[in-house]
Amino acid sequence: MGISAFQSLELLERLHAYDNVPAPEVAPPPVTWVGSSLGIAGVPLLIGAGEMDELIETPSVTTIPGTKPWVLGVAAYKGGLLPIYSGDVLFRKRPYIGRVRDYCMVIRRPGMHFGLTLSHVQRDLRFPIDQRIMEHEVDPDFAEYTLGGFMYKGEFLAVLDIDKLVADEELANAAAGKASSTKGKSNE
Amino acid sequence: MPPRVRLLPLRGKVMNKVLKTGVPNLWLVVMALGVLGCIAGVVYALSKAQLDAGTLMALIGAPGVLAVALLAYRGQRRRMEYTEAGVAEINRALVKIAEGDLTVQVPEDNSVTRDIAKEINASTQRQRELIRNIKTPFKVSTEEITKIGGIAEGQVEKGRELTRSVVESTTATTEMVRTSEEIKQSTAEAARTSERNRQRVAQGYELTKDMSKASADVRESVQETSKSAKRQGELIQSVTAAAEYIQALNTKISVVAINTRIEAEKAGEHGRPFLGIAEAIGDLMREAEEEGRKIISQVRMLQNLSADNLSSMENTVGTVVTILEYIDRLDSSLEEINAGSSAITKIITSVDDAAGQSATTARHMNNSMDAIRERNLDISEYSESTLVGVSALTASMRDVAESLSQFRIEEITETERTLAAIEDLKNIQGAKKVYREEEMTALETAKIERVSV
Repeated sequence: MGISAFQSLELLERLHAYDNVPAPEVAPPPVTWVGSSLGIAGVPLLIGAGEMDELIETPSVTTIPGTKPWVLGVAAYKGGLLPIYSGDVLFRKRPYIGRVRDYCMVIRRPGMHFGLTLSHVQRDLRFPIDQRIMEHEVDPDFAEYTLGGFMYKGEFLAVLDIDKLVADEELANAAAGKASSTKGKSNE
Repeated sequence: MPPRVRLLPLRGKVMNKVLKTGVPNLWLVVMALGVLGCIAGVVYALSKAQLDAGTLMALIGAPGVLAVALLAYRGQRRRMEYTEAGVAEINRALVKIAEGDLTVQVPEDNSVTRDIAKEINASTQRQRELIRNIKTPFKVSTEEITKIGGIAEGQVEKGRELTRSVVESTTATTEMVRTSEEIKQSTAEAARTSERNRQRVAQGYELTKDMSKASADVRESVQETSKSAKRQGELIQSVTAAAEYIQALNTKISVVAINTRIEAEKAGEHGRPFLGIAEAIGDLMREAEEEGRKIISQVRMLQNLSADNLSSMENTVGTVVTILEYIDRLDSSLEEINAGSSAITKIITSVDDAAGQSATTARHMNNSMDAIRERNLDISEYSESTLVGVSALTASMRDVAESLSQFRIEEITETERTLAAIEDLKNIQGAKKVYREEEMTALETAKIERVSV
């Protein structure tokens, strides 16, 4: 009566144990930074995982009078209202006339729930954490809201720190002041 | 030259001695000697012999007879002397007449010779009138002959000039013939060249037709290709739109993947499979995005190339159209050149004909010039002969005039003698003209170079 396949496997395992061949050591998985590659106002940025609540197509908005120029309006979103901000006007601080932004990211923070238009959306990227570059020249309009970045295909992708953005007092008050009432409108 | 006619004067010296000298004295001596002889005879007879009456009578009567005879002789002698005087006058007059002096006047007081003297005077008068009548027309004839001589000399001179002119004209016509033949040769060469040019223009015309046809074919082909390129561009545009749509779909899928990852993270441990799916979708999307980007890039390159090709083809069509316009212009120019070449050929042909006619005319003219020269030589010879004849006639007339001038028909004053001497000197100077005629004869008989056409 012959041996079965399990028995052959067991014999093979014993032979290997007898030969004292050490088992290959599995390297610990590297610590990676995961985020989404997207762009605001033409600047390629990275948004860390968990920083944004959702990516949606830019909905139709209802303008809100008396707000700052970067407030495009409010849109119906999952049975509620969602303010939509223009990333171009918010960061560049000047009226934007250009291609319609198709997507926006939804950011939810305590007390802050809004959508920010994006210039382009790529995909999720994963970088080793040790490849993060903290000292790199970034677009001046985004410099105070970024925290390092990664090189990807010869291009530096700055990591947008949503907490810094949310902590900004400019973003905290969307009501238009007297000085800002004369600012232009965007086509968004 | 004709012998010179000269009237020789008569010489009558012997007759003059007989009639004028010694005759009366001789007779007187003879008579005296007779008388003395008679007396001597009587005296001798008386002294020697006795004389009878008869003898005495004879001796006495003899002197008487002798005296009568002497008286008769004396009278006869006087009459003879009278007659001799008249004859001597007539003789002198005749001598004068013989010397040519017709102005002599014979005295008519001698009764013996009166009639003869009258006749002689009348005769000399008639001779004077005759000579006078002869000299006047003779003088006129001499002047006219002198004029004819001058005219003949002028004719000879004109003939020489005409000969020279004819020789020069012959040379000129010969040169004209040679020039015409050269023109004919040149025109023949030009005609051949023009014909070759015309043939080449015709070939060029055919080539332009072929080029025009080929250009039209090229234009149609390029237009068809342009249409295909436009269709290709449209297709590329649609492919580009599709690629962009695919790219937009990729973006949407990326958004879905990102949202999936977010939702999976929100779900915690239960959402881990969705996280793997989201990552797998992300990996696929990365490849799809790269390929899509390549496709879009290549399609855009194709679109640009198609646009460039389309533009190039449009430029080619425009160039072909320009070439066709140039070909049309070239065709028109070639037609004009062809027409011009034909006109030039006609002109050259007409020039050739004109040169041939000119050569023929020049040959005829040359022949005519030869004939004119021959006739002119004949005329010159005739003129020369005329001049010689006129010269001879002039000399003869001069001799006759000199001969006639020997007849004195009027009393000549000293002034007229001087004028006559001057006239003689002029006649002597006329010999130079004869010499010039000889020279002219020598010139005319010299060899004349004949120019053959």
